[in-house]
Amino acid sequence: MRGIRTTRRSVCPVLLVLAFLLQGCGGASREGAKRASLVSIPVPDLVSATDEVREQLRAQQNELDRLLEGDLSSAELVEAFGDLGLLYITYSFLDAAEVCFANAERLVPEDHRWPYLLGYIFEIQGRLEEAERVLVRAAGLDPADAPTLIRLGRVRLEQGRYEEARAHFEGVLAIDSGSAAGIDGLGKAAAGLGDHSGAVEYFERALELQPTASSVHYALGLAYRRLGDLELARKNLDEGGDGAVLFVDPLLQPVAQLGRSAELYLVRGAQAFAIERWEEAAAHYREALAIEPENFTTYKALGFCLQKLGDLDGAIDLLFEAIQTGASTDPARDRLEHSEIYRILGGLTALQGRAGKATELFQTSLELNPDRPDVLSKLANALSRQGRFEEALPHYNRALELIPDHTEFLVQRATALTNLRRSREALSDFRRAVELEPENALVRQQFAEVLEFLGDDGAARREREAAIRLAKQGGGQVDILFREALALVRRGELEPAVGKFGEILEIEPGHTDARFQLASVLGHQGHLDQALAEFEQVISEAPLLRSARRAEITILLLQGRYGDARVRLNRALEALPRDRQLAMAFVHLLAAAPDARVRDGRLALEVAQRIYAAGPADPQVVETLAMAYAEAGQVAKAVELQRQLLEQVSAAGNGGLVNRVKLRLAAYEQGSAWRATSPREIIEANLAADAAGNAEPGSMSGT
Amino acid sequence: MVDPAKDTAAVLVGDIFSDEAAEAGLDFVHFNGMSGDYYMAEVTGAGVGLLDYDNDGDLDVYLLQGAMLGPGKTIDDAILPPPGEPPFKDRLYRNDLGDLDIGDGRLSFTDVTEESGLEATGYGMGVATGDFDGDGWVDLYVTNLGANQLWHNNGDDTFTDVTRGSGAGDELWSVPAAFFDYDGDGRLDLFVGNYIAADFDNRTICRDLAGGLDYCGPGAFAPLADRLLRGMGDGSFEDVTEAAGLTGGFGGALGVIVADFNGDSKPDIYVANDGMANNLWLNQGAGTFVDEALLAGCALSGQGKAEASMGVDAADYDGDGDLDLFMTHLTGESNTLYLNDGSGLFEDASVDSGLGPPSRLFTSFGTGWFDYDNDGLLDLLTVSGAVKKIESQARAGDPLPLHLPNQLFRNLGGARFRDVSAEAGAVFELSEVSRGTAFGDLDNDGDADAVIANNSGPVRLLVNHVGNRNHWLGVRLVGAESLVDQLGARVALVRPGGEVLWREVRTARGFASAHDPRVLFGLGEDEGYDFVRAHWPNGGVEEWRGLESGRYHTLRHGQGSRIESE
Repeated sequence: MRGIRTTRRSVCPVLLVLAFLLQGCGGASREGAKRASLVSIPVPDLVSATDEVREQLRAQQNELDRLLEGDLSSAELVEAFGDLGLLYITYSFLDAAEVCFANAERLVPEDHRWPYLLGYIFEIQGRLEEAERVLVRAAGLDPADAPTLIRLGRVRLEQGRYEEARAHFEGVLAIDSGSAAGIDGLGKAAAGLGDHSGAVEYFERALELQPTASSVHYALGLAYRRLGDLELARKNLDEGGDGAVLFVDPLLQPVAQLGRSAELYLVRGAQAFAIERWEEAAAHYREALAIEPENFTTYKALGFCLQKLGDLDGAIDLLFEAIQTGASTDPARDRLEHSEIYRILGGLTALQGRAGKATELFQTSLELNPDRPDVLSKLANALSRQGRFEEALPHYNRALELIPDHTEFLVQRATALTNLRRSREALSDFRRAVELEPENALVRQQFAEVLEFLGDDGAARREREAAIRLAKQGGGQVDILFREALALVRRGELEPAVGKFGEILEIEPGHTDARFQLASVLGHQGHLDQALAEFEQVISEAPLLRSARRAEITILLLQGRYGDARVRLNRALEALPRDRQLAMAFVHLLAAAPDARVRDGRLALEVAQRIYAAGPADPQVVETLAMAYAEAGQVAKAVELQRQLLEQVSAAGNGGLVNRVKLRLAAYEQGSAWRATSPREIIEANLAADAAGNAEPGSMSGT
Repeated sequence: MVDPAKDTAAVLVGDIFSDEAAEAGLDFVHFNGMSGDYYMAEVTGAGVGLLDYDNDGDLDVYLLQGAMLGPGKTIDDAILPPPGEPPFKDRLYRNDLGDLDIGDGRLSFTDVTEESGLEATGYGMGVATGDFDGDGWVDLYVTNLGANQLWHNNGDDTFTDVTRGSGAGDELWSVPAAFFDYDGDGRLDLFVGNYIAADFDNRTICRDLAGGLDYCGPGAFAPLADRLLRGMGDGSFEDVTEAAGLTGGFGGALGVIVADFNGDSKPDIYVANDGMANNLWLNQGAGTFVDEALLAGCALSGQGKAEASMGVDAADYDGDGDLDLFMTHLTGESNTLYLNDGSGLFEDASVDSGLGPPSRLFTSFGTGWFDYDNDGLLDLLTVSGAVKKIESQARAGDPLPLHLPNQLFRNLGGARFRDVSAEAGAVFELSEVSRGTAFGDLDNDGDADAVIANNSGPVRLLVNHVGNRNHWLGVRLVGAESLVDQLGARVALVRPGGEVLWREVRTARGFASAHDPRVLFGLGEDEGYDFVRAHWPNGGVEEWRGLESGRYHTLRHGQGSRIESE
């Protein structure tokens, strides 16, 4: 018995050979019969596959060939068939995978894994009768295997055999009563049998168990529609997405780890993204970029992941890189996509409070794809935030020309008009908006705010009351409360604002924005412990939210907890390794903290050199490096750098900075490092670092 | 009528269809211009058109041609041999069957492209037919990868390209198109379905999971906006897309059906989008539309997934008076039957009807409802060809490893269908890369034949050998003044006992194809019926009694008995 390599004609003359031909060698022996029953594995078309993939398949096939030389009863041989089959599944060579599992089953017919894996292949290929046959066999071999029953149930659903499907899904629940896949299956079976109320209950439960399974919303929406509840139908249909109902599938789990092509990582990234596993998606996209660094789509996808993770700076960097990469070769698509990316960049920078930058980005988006009403309104909003209401108006007008009765645009224009004291026009827009959506609590609330601004307190109160009533009825209460709380903050009424944020968090504990605002207000009020606790909660909800990380560290420094600050900075840099601002703060703490137990000159220098190497070498970076050199005992180097810096800042005429540089230079010239004498000096050093921005590529942690 | 429980397909003697293209002189061979660069367009086209351009009573055939794709490519770069020398162009084949009464089944076609003046050298995708200027001679709208063309039928066996200045031109990648009268002004308007923004000077490279080159899916490109063009009556069109509210939610359009889905007597637009949610633009009257596909349940599959959605057709297959939708999709998905509840809300009936499961192994494009056996029940044909490499064919060294056989589904009644491909004839054993198909009674013998356009292969002419074993009645609905087919008209044939067969005059259906405008009623074993009632597209209902079965009748607007109550 030996594995034989074959060649392919025409299109792929040099083709990897993965097949083996089996010849009987044991006469009439059982071994011989078993050998004869094995089928040769079809050779996949690998003519343009990547070298890595080819090599991976070749190695696995070689291992199988080696084992085939030996004893057919070897457990290793069966596993080798299984491993190769899984590898073929990974790359979607399903014909080959099928033969691998079929051979494994011939060798060990009592092992339920092989008919199960065959069933998976048949199911995804739509070979329903074959899938049914092998899955029934698998279920017979292991009746308590939930994945087998789930797949069998799904096949029955596809066949329209709803009663049988229901029985399988009930079997799943007998094994695991909390199986979202089992409950979703029961919902589908109920829907198939015309029991739409039952279906609704099952789908609701499945969503409770697995909220990321957005595809269930679609089924739920249709069930509500069948029950005549068009409102809930529409709501759920709108919420429907690609998120599949997942279940633990140990036999197929290895597939997620096997592949080595950029395409596979992209597919996995998209799958993880669809079920809101942002970290996992980001990891897959990073793998894809490592294999194929010039891929526009991957940059874009990773940027969106970082946005979801709250890493706005990271998302912005990557989306800019996506545009600059220009790997797409489709200018028409680029134009539209770049316009869309600029729109998103505008939104992200607006979120960061950089309205000027957002304005530029929205303008660029419109240059590439003019007359998009949503972008026109966002541009106008960004201008309004800068107080440039006159400039904003034409954009609102154009957006409203394109969609004349758009409530949101009307409200936004009305707000701009209010600020321009064009009250009559503003009121006209608001009245139209309220006319269009009288039940919209948010519109009524905004109307109330404008009336208040215009001094019509009576009307404002009536609108506010209407807004609150509507919000309570319609479930939009949190939005109203949040707006009210922010308005209180703007007016400096911090104590009532704390109360409002508290109310919001009681209703919706996961409202990260409200918690962040609450923590900020508490910090302003000097309730540092409470603020810190809230920021920590925010960080646990949004680990990549830089502003929360910075606020947490600032509070710890204010409290003089340098050791804790070092630990948290370390953690922050683990989460945000590209954040130059955090890295510089880390150096400052290591080099200049009043507490000697916290200082570490060697580490400070290592991180500072990394920041410096990443560039640009602006004054803050040079000063940080000098600080680290001094603490590391290389004072001469610190003096040299600080002198260069002094020349540079003196020429620039920045008096405050010149004085600071001189002060630290004096310390270095005396052969000592500079030490902060109070928490505030460290914070100021951080603020100086803030001004340097943070745009370096590459990791700067390393602690 | 046939007893639904009795499946006559199994007892029919001989093939249901046979391919007679070569014998009839329909010698067209499609050329896709592939050169190894995996341009998506090379495996997308093309449709086919059936029209009686010379008004001689039989259907002529318009076939769309490809060309070399990619900058600097010549036929020397072609992987598959070209059919002759360039330039390649669409071809018009005249049906020489002649008089309606002959009906002897002897088909003969003559390539009349050169004398017709048709100079369609674009990379062809689809074709729509309609008499846009109402002169009684059917015109052509050809969609291309690139500039579309509007061909005016001069009424003397020639055509003139009137695209320039007509407002109907479109430089994008268009696939389906349909003439209809959306605003009820009596003039034909035009819907053009645009696909995706692909640039052939700068190839987008797509790979399979192993990193090997493969055709891209639509997600690799931006979808293009569709266009609604209002016929001005003077041969020109005005772009009213935005004014009509068709302002967003576009996907890459591959199929379009214009019909009244919610029973308000106004034509709606259903657009089948590739890999994205489909649109159901409901006509609000006053010239505007609103997309309600999601709530209507026909935007996505029953599982909530956007599917490939290539060909689409609508008909009242279950005899309840409303229009149901059937669509073709990719391998692994299943073709979808959307059952209309009468109000324009749909249920995915793919599984329960038996149409879904057998289609999961196929990637199908062209399709359509037609009653091939004239038993009064509408059947389905789906023509197939993959868009991603089929592993076994690639392994075998096939240069175009995308071929699949076609499928015929017989309506058994009771909302159930059966795949009868294995009994339908040797032509169903062929495995080709089929795209468009168009139905029509090409030999005027009282049953529906089909033409199938293959990508990189010969056209097939499926001649029906069984339909006219049952009784039938054919009608052509035309305008009062001239032989203008009344697109959008509904026709009801009412049988003793009240059973009603509803059919529609619609040429644009399936995948990028134009079909016979005539309506063919299959009457089964009993030729009896009470009357035929025509619901004209712009209002008015007329009735005819005593039309002789077994032949075609031209029903002229205004010449039937007017029915006031409907």
